[in-house]
Amino acid sequence: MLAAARRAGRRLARGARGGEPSARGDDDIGRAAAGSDFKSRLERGRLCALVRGAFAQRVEPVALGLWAGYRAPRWLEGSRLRELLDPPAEVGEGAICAEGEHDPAVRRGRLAARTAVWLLGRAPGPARNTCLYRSIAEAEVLRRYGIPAVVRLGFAPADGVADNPSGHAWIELPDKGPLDQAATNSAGRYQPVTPARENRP
Amino acid sequence: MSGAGYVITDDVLSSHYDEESVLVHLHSKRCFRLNATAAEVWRGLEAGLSREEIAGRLCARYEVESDTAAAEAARLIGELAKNGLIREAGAGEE
Repeated sequence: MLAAARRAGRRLARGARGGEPSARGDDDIGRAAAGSDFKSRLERGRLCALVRGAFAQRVEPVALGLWAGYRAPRWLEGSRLRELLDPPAEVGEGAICAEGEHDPAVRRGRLAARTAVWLLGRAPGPARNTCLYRSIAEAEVLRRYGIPAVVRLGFAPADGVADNPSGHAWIELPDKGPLDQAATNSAGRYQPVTPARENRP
Repeated sequence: MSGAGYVITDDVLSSHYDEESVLVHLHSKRCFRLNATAAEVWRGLEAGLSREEIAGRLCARYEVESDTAAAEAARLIGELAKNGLIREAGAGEE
Protein backbone atom coordinates (compact mmCIF):
# COMPACT_ATOMS: atom_id res chain seq x y z
CA MET A 1 0.00 0.00 0.00
CA LEU A 2 2.75 2.41 1.03
CA ALA A 3 4.95 1.37 -1.88
CA ALA A 4 2.07 1.93 -4.30
CA ALA A 5 1.51 5.41 -2.92
CA ARG A 6 5.21 6.23 -3.35
CA ARG A 7 5.11 5.04 -6.97
CA ALA A 8 2.06 7.18 -7.61
CA GLY A 9 3.80 10.17 -6.00
CA ARG A 10 6.88 9.66 -8.20
CA ARG A 11 4.70 9.51 -11.29
CA LEU A 12 2.90 12.64 -10.22
CA ALA A 13 6.17 14.46 -9.73
CA ARG A 14 7.43 13.27 -13.11
CA GLY A 15 4.24 14.50 -14.73
CA ALA A 16 4.53 17.86 -13.01
CA ARG A 17 8.08 18.28 -14.29
CA GLY A 18 6.80 17.67 -17.77
CA GLY A 19 8.30 14.20 -18.01
CA GLU A 20 6.85 11.51 -20.22
CA PRO A 21 3.69 10.14 -18.68
CA SER A 22 3.60 6.43 -18.21
CA ALA A 23 1.52 4.30 -20.51
CA ARG A 24 -0.50 3.06 -17.63
CA GLY A 25 -3.87 4.13 -16.28
CA ASP A 26 -2.50 6.77 -13.92
CA ASP A 27 -1.52 9.14 -16.80
CA ASP A 28 -4.48 11.31 -15.92
CA ILE A 29 -2.91 12.20 -12.60
CA GLY A 30 0.30 13.38 -14.29
CA ARG A 31 -1.62 15.35 -16.89
CA ALA A 32 -3.75 16.99 -14.21
CA ALA A 33 -0.65 17.95 -12.24
CA ALA A 34 1.08 19.38 -15.33
CA GLY A 35 -2.08 21.28 -16.24
CA SER A 36 -2.30 22.72 -12.76
CA ASP A 37 1.33 23.84 -12.90
CA PHE A 38 0.82 25.42 -16.31
CA LYS A 39 -2.24 27.24 -15.01
CA SER A 40 -0.38 28.61 -12.01
CA ARG A 41 2.47 29.74 -14.26
CA LEU A 42 -0.02 31.40 -16.55
CA GLU A 43 -1.61 33.17 -13.62
CA ARG A 44 1.80 34.26 -12.34
CA GLY A 45 2.65 35.52 -15.83
CA ARG A 46 -0.61 37.40 -16.04
CA LEU A 47 -0.01 38.92 -12.63
CA CYS A 48 3.51 39.98 -13.63
CA ALA A 49 2.20 41.50 -16.86
CA LEU A 50 -0.49 43.30 -14.90
CA VAL A 51 2.05 44.70 -12.45
CA ARG A 52 4.41 45.68 -15.27
CA GLY A 53 1.56 47.31 -17.17
CA ALA A 54 0.39 49.23 -14.12
CA PHE A 55 3.94 50.36 -13.47
CA ALA A 56 4.51 51.47 -17.07
CA GLN A 57 1.12 53.14 -17.42
CA ARG A 58 0.72 54.73 -14.01
CA VAL A 59 3.69 54.67 -11.64
CA GLU A 60 6.46 55.41 -14.13
CA PRO A 61 4.79 58.38 -15.88
CA VAL A 62 3.79 59.97 -12.60
CA ALA A 63 7.29 59.54 -11.18
CA LEU A 64 8.77 60.87 -14.41
CA GLY A 65 6.46 63.88 -14.39
CA LEU A 66 7.20 64.73 -10.77
CA TRP A 67 10.91 64.40 -11.43
CA ALA A 68 10.68 66.62 -14.54
CA GLY A 69 8.78 69.25 -12.55
CA TYR A 70 11.40 69.18 -9.84
CA ARG A 71 14.20 69.52 -12.41
CA ALA A 72 12.56 72.34 -14.40
CA PRO A 73 14.50 75.21 -12.74
CA ARG A 74 17.78 73.57 -13.75
CA TRP A 75 16.94 74.10 -17.42
CA LEU A 76 17.10 77.83 -16.78
CA GLU A 77 20.68 77.74 -15.55
CA GLY A 78 22.98 79.42 -18.05
CA SER A 79 21.91 78.86 -21.65
CA ARG A 80 20.73 75.28 -21.15
CA LEU A 81 17.20 76.16 -22.21
CA ARG A 82 18.49 76.28 -25.78
CA GLU A 83 18.44 72.45 -25.80
CA LEU A 84 14.68 72.49 -25.40
CA LEU A 85 14.13 75.17 -28.04
CA ASP A 86 15.59 73.05 -30.83
CA PRO A 87 14.29 69.62 -31.86
CA PRO A 88 16.38 66.93 -30.18
CA ALA A 89 18.98 65.09 -32.22
CA GLU A 90 17.83 61.85 -30.67
CA VAL A 91 14.77 61.23 -28.59
CA GLY A 92 13.56 58.89 -25.93
CA GLU A 93 15.60 56.95 -23.49
CA GLY A 94 12.37 55.24 -22.50
CA ALA A 95 9.85 53.31 -24.47
CA ILE A 96 8.39 55.03 -27.51
CA CYS A 97 4.63 55.18 -27.19
CA ALA A 98 2.55 53.85 -30.01
CA GLU A 99 -0.06 56.52 -29.49
CA GLY A 100 2.49 59.30 -29.28
CA GLU A 101 1.44 62.36 -27.36
CA HIS A 102 -2.09 60.96 -26.91
CA ASP A 103 -0.88 57.91 -25.00
CA PRO A 104 -2.46 57.73 -21.53
CA ALA A 105 0.99 57.31 -19.94
CA VAL A 106 2.23 60.47 -21.65
CA ARG A 107 -0.87 62.38 -20.55
CA ARG A 108 -0.38 61.20 -16.97
CA GLY A 109 3.27 62.22 -17.11
CA ARG A 110 2.39 65.69 -18.36
CA LEU A 111 -0.26 66.10 -15.70
CA ALA A 112 2.19 64.99 -13.01
CA ALA A 113 4.77 67.45 -14.33
CA ARG A 114 2.26 70.32 -14.19
CA THR A 115 1.21 69.27 -10.70
CA ALA A 116 4.82 69.15 -9.53
CA VAL A 117 5.47 72.64 -10.91
CA TRP A 118 2.30 73.91 -9.26
CA LEU A 119 3.31 72.40 -5.90
CA LEU A 120 6.93 73.52 -6.10
CA GLY A 121 5.82 76.98 -7.13
CA ARG A 122 4.12 77.30 -3.77
CA ALA A 123 7.16 76.12 -1.84
CA PRO A 124 10.21 78.26 -1.14
CA GLY A 125 12.83 77.70 -3.81
CA PRO A 126 13.72 78.62 -7.37
CA ALA A 127 10.66 77.00 -9.01
CA ARG A 128 7.74 79.16 -10.06
CA ASN A 129 4.38 78.07 -11.36
CA THR A 130 4.61 79.80 -14.73
CA CYS A 131 4.04 78.76 -18.32
CA LEU A 132 7.80 78.52 -18.85
CA TYR A 133 8.38 76.06 -16.01
CA ARG A 134 5.33 74.01 -16.99
CA SER A 135 6.44 73.86 -20.63
CA ILE A 136 9.96 72.83 -19.68
CA ALA A 137 8.73 70.03 -17.41
CA GLU A 138 6.21 68.76 -19.96
CA ALA A 139 8.72 68.88 -22.80
CA GLU A 140 11.11 66.77 -20.77
CA VAL A 141 8.40 64.17 -20.15
CA LEU A 142 7.49 64.08 -23.84
CA ARG A 143 11.09 63.66 -24.90
CA ARG A 144 11.51 60.80 -22.43
CA TYR A 145 8.68 59.07 -24.26
CA GLY A 146 10.32 59.57 -27.64
CA ILE A 147 8.25 62.58 -28.69
CA PRO A 148 10.48 65.39 -30.04
CA ALA A 149 8.70 68.26 -28.27
CA VAL A 150 10.18 71.74 -28.32
CA VAL A 151 9.51 74.70 -26.05
CA ARG A 152 8.42 77.88 -27.83
CA LEU A 153 8.80 81.35 -26.38
CA GLY A 154 6.66 84.07 -27.85
CA PHE A 155 5.74 87.69 -27.37
CA ALA A 156 2.54 89.54 -28.06
CA PRO A 157 3.32 92.73 -29.91
CA ALA A 158 -0.07 94.29 -29.33
CA ASP A 159 -0.16 94.40 -25.55
CA GLY A 160 3.55 94.62 -24.89
CA VAL A 161 4.63 97.50 -22.71
CA ALA A 162 7.85 99.23 -23.69
CA ASP A 163 10.02 97.75 -20.96
CA ASN A 164 8.06 94.62 -20.30
CA PRO A 165 6.81 92.79 -23.38
CA SER A 166 4.06 90.28 -22.72
CA GLY A 167 5.61 86.84 -23.13
CA HIS A 168 4.41 83.27 -23.07
CA ALA A 169 5.82 79.74 -23.39
CA TRP A 170 4.17 76.66 -24.87
CA ILE A 171 5.03 73.29 -26.41
CA GLU A 172 5.11 72.35 -30.07
CA LEU A 173 5.91 69.24 -32.06
CA PRO A 174 8.18 69.93 -35.04
CA ASP A 175 5.92 68.27 -37.61
CA LYS A 176 2.55 68.96 -36.03
CA GLY A 177 2.78 72.42 -34.52
CA PRO A 178 1.22 73.29 -31.16
CA LEU A 179 0.57 70.30 -28.96
CA ASP A 180 -2.96 71.06 -27.80
CA GLN A 181 -5.70 73.65 -28.05
CA ALA A 182 -4.21 75.91 -25.38
CA ALA A 183 -0.89 75.89 -27.22
CA THR A 184 -2.68 76.55 -30.52
CA ASN A 185 -4.35 79.60 -29.01
CA SER A 186 -0.99 80.78 -27.69
CA ALA A 187 0.72 80.27 -31.02
CA GLY A 188 -1.96 82.40 -32.66
CA ARG A 189 -1.61 85.22 -30.20
CA TYR A 190 2.13 85.24 -29.54
CA GLN A 191 4.84 85.47 -32.13
CA PRO A 192 7.64 82.98 -31.37
CA VAL A 193 11.23 84.06 -31.03
CA THR A 194 13.82 82.10 -32.99
CA PRO A 195 17.61 81.91 -32.74
CA ALA A 196 18.80 85.25 -34.11
CA ARG A 197 21.81 83.80 -35.88
CA GLU A 198 19.48 81.70 -38.01
CA ASN A 199 17.48 84.73 -39.12
CA ARG A 200 20.17 85.75 -41.57
CA PRO A 201 18.52 86.12 -44.98
CA MET B 1 35.46 98.98 -34.17
CA SER B 2 35.16 100.88 -37.42
CA GLY B 3 34.49 98.65 -40.38
CA ALA B 4 34.37 95.55 -38.23
CA GLY B 5 31.66 92.97 -38.70
CA TYR B 6 29.65 91.77 -35.74
CA VAL B 7 28.43 88.37 -34.77
CA ILE B 8 25.23 87.70 -32.91
CA THR B 9 25.88 85.41 -29.98
CA ASP B 10 24.29 81.97 -29.82
CA ASP B 11 22.26 82.86 -26.77
CA VAL B 12 20.08 85.41 -28.52
CA LEU B 13 16.56 84.76 -29.77
CA SER B 14 14.70 87.36 -31.78
CA SER B 15 11.33 88.07 -33.25
CA HIS B 16 10.35 90.83 -35.65
CA TYR B 17 7.06 92.64 -35.76
CA ASP B 18 5.99 95.35 -38.16
CA GLU B 19 8.44 97.96 -36.97
CA GLU B 20 9.81 96.65 -33.72
CA SER B 21 11.78 93.64 -32.58
CA VAL B 22 12.05 91.67 -29.36
CA LEU B 23 15.30 90.04 -28.31
CA VAL B 24 15.75 87.43 -25.60
CA HIS B 25 19.13 86.75 -24.09
CA LEU B 26 18.97 83.21 -22.76
CA HIS B 27 21.99 83.44 -20.51
CA SER B 28 20.96 86.59 -18.66
CA LYS B 29 17.21 85.84 -19.05
CA ARG B 30 16.65 89.42 -20.18
CA CYS B 31 14.25 90.66 -22.84
CA PHE B 32 14.92 93.69 -25.00
CA ARG B 33 12.31 95.52 -26.95
CA LEU B 34 13.76 97.46 -29.87
CA ASN B 35 12.08 100.47 -31.41
CA ALA B 36 11.97 100.95 -35.17
CA THR B 37 15.47 102.44 -35.46
CA ALA B 38 17.10 99.88 -33.20
CA ALA B 39 15.21 97.10 -35.00
CA GLU B 40 16.62 98.38 -38.30
CA VAL B 41 20.13 98.19 -36.84
CA TRP B 42 19.44 94.70 -35.53
CA ARG B 43 18.17 93.50 -38.89
CA GLY B 44 21.39 94.84 -40.40
CA LEU B 45 23.39 92.84 -37.86
CA GLU B 46 21.39 89.72 -38.63
CA ALA B 47 22.17 90.28 -42.30
CA GLY B 48 25.88 90.39 -41.41
CA LEU B 49 26.39 94.05 -42.36
CA SER B 50 29.21 96.23 -41.03
CA ARG B 51 28.61 99.37 -38.96
CA GLU B 52 29.07 101.59 -42.02
CA GLU B 53 26.62 99.59 -44.06
CA ILE B 54 24.08 99.72 -41.24
CA ALA B 55 24.53 103.50 -41.00
CA GLY B 56 23.96 103.68 -44.77
CA ARG B 57 20.68 101.82 -44.35
CA LEU B 58 19.59 104.24 -41.62
CA CYS B 59 20.44 107.19 -43.89
CA ALA B 60 18.39 105.75 -46.73
CA ARG B 61 15.40 104.92 -44.57
CA TYR B 62 15.15 107.93 -42.25
CA GLU B 63 16.75 110.63 -44.43
CA VAL B 64 19.24 111.74 -41.79
CA GLU B 65 22.79 113.05 -42.13
CA SER B 66 25.38 110.32 -42.50
CA ASP B 67 27.23 111.53 -39.39
CA THR B 68 24.07 111.35 -37.32
CA ALA B 69 23.24 107.89 -38.66
CA ALA B 70 26.79 106.65 -38.03
CA ALA B 71 26.76 108.00 -34.47
CA GLU B 72 23.37 106.45 -33.77
CA ALA B 73 24.40 103.10 -35.25
CA ALA B 74 27.61 103.12 -33.19
CA ARG B 75 25.70 103.93 -30.02
CA LEU B 76 23.15 101.14 -30.57
CA ILE B 77 25.80 98.61 -31.50
CA GLY B 78 27.74 99.56 -28.36
CA GLU B 79 24.61 99.02 -26.26
CA LEU B 80 23.95 95.64 -27.86
CA ALA B 81 27.56 94.56 -27.33
CA LYS B 82 27.50 95.77 -23.72
CA ASN B 83 24.52 93.54 -23.07
CA GLY B 84 26.22 90.51 -24.60
CA LEU B 85 23.91 90.29 -27.60
CA ILE B 86 26.65 90.72 -30.19
CA ARG B 87 30.43 90.63 -30.34
CA GLU B 88 32.99 91.67 -32.87
CA ALA B 89 33.68 89.04 -35.50
CA GLY B 90 36.76 87.04 -34.57
CA ALA B 91 36.78 88.28 -30.97
CA GLY B 92 36.22 85.58 -28.34
CA GLU B 93 35.03 82.82 -30.67
CA GLU B 94 32.66 80.53 -28.76
